[in-house]
Order: sequence, then C-alpha cells, then structure tokens
Amino acid sequence: MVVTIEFLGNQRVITGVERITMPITGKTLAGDALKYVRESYLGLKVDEKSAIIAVNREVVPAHTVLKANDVVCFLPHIGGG
Amino acid sequence: METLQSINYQPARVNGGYTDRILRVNMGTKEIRVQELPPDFKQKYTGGRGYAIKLIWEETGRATRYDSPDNLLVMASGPLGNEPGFPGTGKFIVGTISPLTDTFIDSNVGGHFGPLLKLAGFDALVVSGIANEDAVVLIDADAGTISIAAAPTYDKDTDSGSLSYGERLLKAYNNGEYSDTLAAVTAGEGALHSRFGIINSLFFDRRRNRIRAKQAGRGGTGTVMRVKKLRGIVVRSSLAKANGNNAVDRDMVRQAGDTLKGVISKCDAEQLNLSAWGTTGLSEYMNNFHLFPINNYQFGQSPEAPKLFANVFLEKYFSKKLPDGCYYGCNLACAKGSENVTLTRGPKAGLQVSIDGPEYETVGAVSNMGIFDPQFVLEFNWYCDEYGLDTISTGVTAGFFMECLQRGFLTVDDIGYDLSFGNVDAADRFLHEIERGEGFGKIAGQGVARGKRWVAETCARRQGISRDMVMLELNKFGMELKGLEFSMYVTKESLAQQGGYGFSLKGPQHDEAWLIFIDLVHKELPTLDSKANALKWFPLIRTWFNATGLCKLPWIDVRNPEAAGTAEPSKNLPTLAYYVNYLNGTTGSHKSLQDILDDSERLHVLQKLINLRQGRGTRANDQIPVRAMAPAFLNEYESRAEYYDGWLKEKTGGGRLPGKIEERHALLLAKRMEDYQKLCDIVYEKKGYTSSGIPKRATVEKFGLLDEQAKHLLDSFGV
Repeated sequence: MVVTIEFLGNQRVITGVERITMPITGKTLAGDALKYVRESYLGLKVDEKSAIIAVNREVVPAHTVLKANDVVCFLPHIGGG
Repeated sequence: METLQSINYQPARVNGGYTDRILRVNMGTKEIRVQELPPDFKQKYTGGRGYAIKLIWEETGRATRYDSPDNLLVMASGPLGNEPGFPGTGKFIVGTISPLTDTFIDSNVGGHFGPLLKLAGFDALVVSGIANEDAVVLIDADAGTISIAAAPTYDKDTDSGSLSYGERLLKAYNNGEYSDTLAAVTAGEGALHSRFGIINSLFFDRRRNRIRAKQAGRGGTGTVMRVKKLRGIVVRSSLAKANGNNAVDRDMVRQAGDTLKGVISKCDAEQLNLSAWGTTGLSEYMNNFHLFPINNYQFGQSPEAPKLFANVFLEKYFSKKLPDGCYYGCNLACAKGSENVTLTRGPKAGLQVSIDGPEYETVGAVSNMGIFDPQFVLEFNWYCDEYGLDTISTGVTAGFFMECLQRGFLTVDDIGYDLSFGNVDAADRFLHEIERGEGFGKIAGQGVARGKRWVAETCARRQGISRDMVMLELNKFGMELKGLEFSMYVTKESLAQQGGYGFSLKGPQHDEAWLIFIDLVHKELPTLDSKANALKWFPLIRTWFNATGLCKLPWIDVRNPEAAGTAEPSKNLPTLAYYVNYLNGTTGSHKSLQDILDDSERLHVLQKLINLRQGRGTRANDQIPVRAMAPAFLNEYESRAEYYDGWLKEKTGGGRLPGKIEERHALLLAKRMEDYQKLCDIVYEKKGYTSSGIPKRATVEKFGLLDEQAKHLLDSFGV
C-alpha cells in the first residue's frame, strides 16, 4: 500500500519534485508522512507546529491513520493580506 | 515650477508616534493651513483610517460625491508608522468618498510617503476643493515650506503616466537626483478616465537604484486625486528614520521589533515564503482549493493555472535574493520586483521597464480573464500602474463583460471587438481603451455596477425584453457589492468569506476580513457562531492595523509557532502581543488587546454611520451576488457536480436528492441563500446592529459617537 505526498509551493522548489509515494502499513499516521519527508529531504523545513496536514484536501490531525492511495500535502498557515 | 501659493512653517516634532497636527490644502482656494489637533482626537480616532473616517464624517455630507469640491482626500499614516526597528511600518491610508461606491473608501499603501509626511510634521494631509488647473503640492520640511505649484509638463508620455510623471517630479525637485529623503504620490491619465483610479506611492530604493511604487489600489482614490486636478504630492524630510517616532519607551519598542523579526526570520521560509516569492505564492494554494478566480469567478481551478504559479515569476522575472521591503527594517520584504522587462504589447511595446510586482491580486485579475500568460501579467501590471488603474477592478470588470459575451447579453458588435475569455489581444485593447477613455473603454472604466446598467439597457433594447429581467440575470454574476469589484478569491464554498466580503464596509475587499482559508481549509470556524465571531473580531483588529500605519502581513501571514498552543490559532495572538507592546512602548499607553479592539470598534461603527448616510449601510447593501455564494449557472454546478451533490447530501441529512441536476442546482442555491441570511442575522446581533443591519442607538452611544448628525441619521431609520 502507498500514499502520494504532494509538494506545493516552496516545498516543490526545494524537493525538485511534484509528488512522491510513501509505503504505508495499516497503522501509518499522517504525522508519519511529515517525518518521512523531513528525513527524505533535509532542506525541507516542515514541522508539526508550522505545517497543517491535509489528506485528500481535508485538514486532519497528525494521528489520522492513512489509507491506501490517500493524497497527503502539507500546508502553511495563510491568513490573507 | 510656477508657485501658486506657499507658506513657511516649522515642522512639529514627532512625539510618541504623533505630531498632533494635520496639513490642510484647499486646491480650489489655494489655502494651505496647519491645524493643531486637540489632545483627545488621537485618543478617540487613533490615526490613519480613523482620522480619515472622522474627517469625512464631519466635513462631508449625504450629497457629497467623489467629484464634489467638499470631498476630502485624506492621507495618513498612524502612530506606529515609521519605525525601522519594527517590520511593516511604511503603510499609510488614503481615504475619500469613492467614485465607485459613493461612500467612504480607504486603501492602504506602503512606501516612504506616510513616514516622511509624519517626519515633515503631519499626522495627516487633507486635500479639499478642486483646482482650476493641474497642480502639485510640495511639502519640504527641510526648507520649512509648503507650496502649491502649477503642475510641470514634460512630454506627452511622461505627462500621462503616473510612474513616469512621479519619477520626473522626484528628480526635478531634487536637482536631478533621486534621494530617499523624498517620496511622492501621483495618479495617471487612466485615473481621470475611469472610476477605479489608483494612487502610486513612489520612493527611491537604494538597492535597486530606482524609483519603486506601491499602490493605493481600491475604490478610485486616484480618480478623486485627478478630479481635484492634483497631479502629484512630494514630501521631503532629512530627519533620521531610526526612532523617528521618538518612542516613549525605546527599549520596549526595540524588544517587540526584535522578537517579531526573529519569528519572521525563522518561520517565513517554512511557510508562505513571502520574502522570496511575494504574495504570488498564494496562487498555487488558491488553485488547489478551488479559490483561484477563473473566467469571472465561474471556476476556482484551472489546469492552466500552474503557468501563473510563484515559481514561474521567481525563475523568469523576479530579481532574486534582494531584500524587498517597501519600508526600512521590514524583513518580510514581500514587495517583489522585476527588472528590464521588455513590453511586447500596447503603445509602449518595445520599451524596457522595471515592474513592481506582480502581487497575487494582479495574477488573479488576469486568470479571471481566462488568461494564463505570465508575460501578460507583468505587462498588465505595469500598464495599470503607469495608467493609474486598479488591477483588481480592471480584471473583474473585464471578466464581467467577457461573461456577458459568453452568455449572449452582449455581442461582439456591442463591444467593438471579441472580448472573450482568454483573448489576450482583446484584454490588452480593453486596458488601453480604459486609459484613454475611448471606445468601449469609456463604458468599462465605469466599473461593474454601472456596466451592468449599460448591458441591461443594451441587451433589453436588442432583444425586446425588460431591462429588469436582464438585470436580474446580471446581478447573479456581476461581481461587485456596494459598487466595488470583488477582490480575487472565489467565495462560493466559504460562508465565512462570503460574510467577509458582504459585511465589509468599503465593499468586497479582503482587507477587512480574509477568512477563506481558516474557514474552508483549516476548518477553524466550524459553526455559524464561530464564523460570526470571526466576522466581528477580524475586521476590528484589521481596522487597527489600518489606523496605526502598519502592514498586516507580518502578523497574519507568518504564523507564530506558539499560536498552535492557543485556543484560536488563526488569531496568531502570540504575535499580536508584540504589537500591543510596540503600541505601548511607542505612545506610552497601557493598552490591552481588548482596548485596541474597542478603539477599532469605535472607528468601525463610525464608518458604518457614513455608509448609512450615503445610502450603503443597510442589510440590503450587504447582499452579495449569487456567484459569490454558489454556482450561479448550471455549468458551474456541472464542473463540480460530485462535490455539490455531496454537499447537498450532507446538508439534507443524507436524504434522497432530486434526480435532475437542474433541481439539485436550485436546491443548492436555496440552501446557500438561507445560510447567508442566517449569517447576517447572527453577525448583526453580535455587532450590536438591528436585523436591518443598522447600528442600535446603544451601540453608537457606547463609543461616544451619538452626535447630532448620528441622532438624526438613526432617527431617519427609526432606530
């Protein structure tokens, strides 16, 4: 089983890719995806305090269990100008 | 320059952020007067927007229109403007009665003009009257003179342009050299020929070694400036900018500034990365969540949108790694710029120009025309600035007429050319015709509200149907409210942002309440009550920023990591605590955040009273177009049928939905309209208004605003 991790905005520039896949088990959490990209891309500074995790375009808590073929992305806080 | 009037003056020293003086210039009588403000004025009206609101309330009347001699053009920073030790302190506001809305509008703008005006001894500049001939105002604190002079003329291109004219003016006034001791504001020829003219705020950027410009873009402030025959204002002061406010407690100010700068340095690069990308980074996020305006807000997403994402501008156009703050000391530095761009279109094709921007709103204005060409974005940006046109209103007005063509309300013959979505040549022609006030540009330059009337008459005449019938249709997708064009967010799916636009006192501009992401994406406003609370709280705190001379971005677009542990992370309260310290350190006050909100509420209620007086202040004036709350036409529903069907199922408790898509669309419209009315009820209650959206007498009294004018006004509404 895998999920897709999409890189938006600055993350895409830093990683140089639009998306990657990550293998999951039935117990992999959304927060694990965050750790996975941090370890895979050292230049990418995303942490649980500053990034919002979205799965299939819905914001979820870090303890959400991921399902096969979910699409995960990490969003910044945007408050508007 | 031929001097028409001149006075000598002794610039007042700035103390605790204030000079307690305003400068009055009457273009009609050529009177120049320095007015001392009573001590309680600043206590009650703070500065910036607050001063402008108070002056407009006192000195204009129900009959005042944008082109009336008694209309005022107010420019004011605020007590916290002009402190390089704190980020984002170059802002000032321009306030006036708008040509678009016929009521109070203000637009905030960065640059050096506001800070230099204060250093020159004035908390605000108030321009009244209408001159007989084009003139400029020169405020020279170094020489101790204030003058009105006949506007100098150069050559045709320079004289019609706002940027070009400002550059020449700044040079001419400083012996042929640029200097950061001077700044200027100007308005171009397009501002004279449209109702959405802007004011450019020009300043010398040492790093780029050129004049840069920021814009007071919304609501036609530049049009008012040109109607007054005021071509430009130059201000000069050589006083040191560091501690220019003469803060009461310098250490407190320094500490607040250092802490905020530290948060920005640490967090911005991990978040929106405004310091590298400016606000163009928003396009990608908006597109991902169906919030990016495409084809007059019909859609919120396009497969072509990546052509307009931030990385495109960064790679191809932006000068990289330049600290681009619009005022000293701002390490967010989001004012990006592009150098040596060769124009390929329009009357200046072939000319190489430097471009300040684009910002997100300009990118959205172009995608709203169905155009995904980054070079056109740059050129549209530059021409609008040079002509003195608001990129937002220009793009939204174009989008409206394009959709009129798409849906058969207009023909190519009516317009004179094929103004279809995606037609770059036509969009380009549209822009230049507005500037010249020629051809279809004469109609388009009036904006969407007046454009609707023209289309209704034209279409009704041709088709032999009633004008009102056509108007009903146009009202569904003419994206204006109170006469102002919407800014560049698709609000269909965010009830909170529908309110953010609907209740906005100046019209649908997001600077009063930008709740779309925290509502729709972050899901931080799950209930009607939480949305209503946000629709009270955010406009108040945002008003405070506009009253004090501050940029909001360092607060609202850089989330402090400590906010995660608070009950309402979206308010970013840990960062706001630095602002409260900055205020108290500067002015010597002992205010809490709640005190600040109370101060702002006074301004908010007073602005609401102006709206009431000007015929823009009731519930009827808060009713947004159908398109702002739902798919207005079937093609929009069809484009996201699965999503809308799911929304309906959830809303109806999983019940059986009508089989025909037309019926489901009608059901969705009814539900969305019902939700919006419920929101109106609860927001009005929280704001202390009647169900008609009128402030209750007790609300007005609570803020010490129940003067004779307010009493008569409320009487006339039976409140």
